[in-house]
Amino acid sequence: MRSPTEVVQLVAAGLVPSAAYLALGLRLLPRFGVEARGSERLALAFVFGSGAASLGVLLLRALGVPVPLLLAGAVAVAAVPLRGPRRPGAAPVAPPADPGWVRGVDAATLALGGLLFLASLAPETYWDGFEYHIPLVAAWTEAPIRALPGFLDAEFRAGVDLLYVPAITSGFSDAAAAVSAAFALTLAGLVRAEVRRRASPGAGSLAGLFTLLAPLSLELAPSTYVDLGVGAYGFAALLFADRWNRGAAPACLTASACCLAFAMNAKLHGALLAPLLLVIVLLGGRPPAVSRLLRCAGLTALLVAPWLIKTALTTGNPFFPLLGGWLGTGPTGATNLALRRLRLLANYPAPRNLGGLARYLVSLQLGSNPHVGGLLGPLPLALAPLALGRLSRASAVLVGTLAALALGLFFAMPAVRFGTPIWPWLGVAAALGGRRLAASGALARGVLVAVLALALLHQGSAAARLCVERAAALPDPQAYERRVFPDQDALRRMVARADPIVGIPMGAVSWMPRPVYNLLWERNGELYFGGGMPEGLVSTPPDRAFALLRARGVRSLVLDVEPPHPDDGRVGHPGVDAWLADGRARLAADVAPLPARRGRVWVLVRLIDRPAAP
Amino acid sequence: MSTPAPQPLSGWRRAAALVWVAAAVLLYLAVQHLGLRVVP
Repeated sequence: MRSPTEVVQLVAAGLVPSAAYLALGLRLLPRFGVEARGSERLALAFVFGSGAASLGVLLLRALGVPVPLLLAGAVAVAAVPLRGPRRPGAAPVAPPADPGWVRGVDAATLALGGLLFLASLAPETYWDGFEYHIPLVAAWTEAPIRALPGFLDAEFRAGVDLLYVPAITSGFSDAAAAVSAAFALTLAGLVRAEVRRRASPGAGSLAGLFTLLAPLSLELAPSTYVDLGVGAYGFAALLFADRWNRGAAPACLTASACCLAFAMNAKLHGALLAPLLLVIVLLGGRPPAVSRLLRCAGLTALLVAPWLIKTALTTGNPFFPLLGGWLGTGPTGATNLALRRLRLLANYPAPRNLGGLARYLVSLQLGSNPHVGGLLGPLPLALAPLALGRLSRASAVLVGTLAALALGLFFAMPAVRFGTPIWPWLGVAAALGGRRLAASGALARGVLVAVLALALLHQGSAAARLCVERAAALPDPQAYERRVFPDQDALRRMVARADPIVGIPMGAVSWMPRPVYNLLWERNGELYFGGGMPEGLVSTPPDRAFALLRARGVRSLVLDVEPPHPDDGRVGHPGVDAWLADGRARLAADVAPLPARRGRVWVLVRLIDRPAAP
Repeated sequence: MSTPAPQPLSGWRRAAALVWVAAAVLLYLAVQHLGLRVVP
């Protein structure tokens, strides 16, 4: 149980880092010369502030300098501008006040943002979050940023992950996901502003609210998944490129290049945006001078360079895992990387042809696949087609490039969360379509109001359930964990009785009370241990697997096996059974099995350094 | 802030739009709440 003081500390650990990134961004934003006001200014400030802060944390942690919450607090206090931006000679012009119902929608969006912030402070129960996002940052918080053998995800980009460092340094790792909630609110703010610019204040406010209410936002905001961050950076990069095409100042190109770099630092596939942005500005009707493009490319290269250097130092290949054939893949086998790519495809198992594409598009709205089905909510695909009409050249190029990226995602990484830079555009289009419907007569307006009300009821109740359940977990996080993942709680209790380092077959690594080694091939990048392996893949031979585990310091394993307790000396895992047979491992009879998932039980196996019998 | 006025839908386009929007949202809700299975 947490005391009220500890709950307050938890809230502070969630609030202070995001406040610091926002304050830093408010300082940086005027230097870009980007026009923004109100909530859009705050959203863009968070984009630039968090991107810059992440690079700062990378530098500090690479040098081993601690980044505690106090430092984040000091940055927040020092960086926050006490006065808004003022231009000499220009009298501030107050925008006309929005209608009451629009202000009500904005208030609901802010209230939902606050609830999502509280929900994000509950324990991490999202799989990738507790399996590698939090453990990765914890490892780089305890000691400087370095290679982590047996931890493949440490070799990919982690720009958003590094924003969790102050919260995790403070000892409140549950507060890390507050950054995701801030990114959700940022995306809502960006969509709201873009729709206000293109349609009306009312449409903008509704688009902002429904962006936050989208099932994908509700799923990602309370977790340490980094996709909302990638989405905010990527969407902002696309926004600025489109604004350039529509006559905005050259500062937009600089801002776009900057956001592109932040997206690339946050996740490798952010790099897919680079060629798309180039196409958008080259074909959008206002091609910039080559010298300007080169300056932008130089800025992007400069901002991604720290991660290239980090990756070169830890893997030998600055572009790892790309160009592995030329520059090598470090300690990770090429097979493992190829299998990870296949694993991404398995998120949506459909043939990659026209029929499969059609099924995928229908699945976005009406599917039940957990990675795809219904995650955008009911409105985007219902209303966006109504926005189609005679498009300007800039809009046609934008729509074409976004469609190309969506097609690329279907072919390579179909899970909806990988498309976060482009889905907000669907929200913008839906708002435009909704506005068109509202202007098409009383009946059309009535249907629009009805579907908006139904969607609000459906998505609002889902959001309320999520927020109430998670916010209620703040005083007693372990009770919540036990309720959500009882098998992982049992695993935690088994690990507590094992000699570290403990090998576990995937799971809630960040919950574990002792250092663990993840036996899952996707996570360790070096060992094929069985369980969750692609069909036809052969496990690492027992002798090699044993040597590898001992080299990583693994002294015990907690495995899920078929009950009853295998007291005949076997656990049903070929490799481990071989070690049990030749005396290199022993089943811990003194530790009673605990329930795992699907009717299996956890058992403890101790590894013993003894040569195999001849 | 000046924004272009939307082009209203009329005739068969409006009818088709109304059917499309209502069907898309109602089917979505049926999948989510009633377990209707349209695609995997």
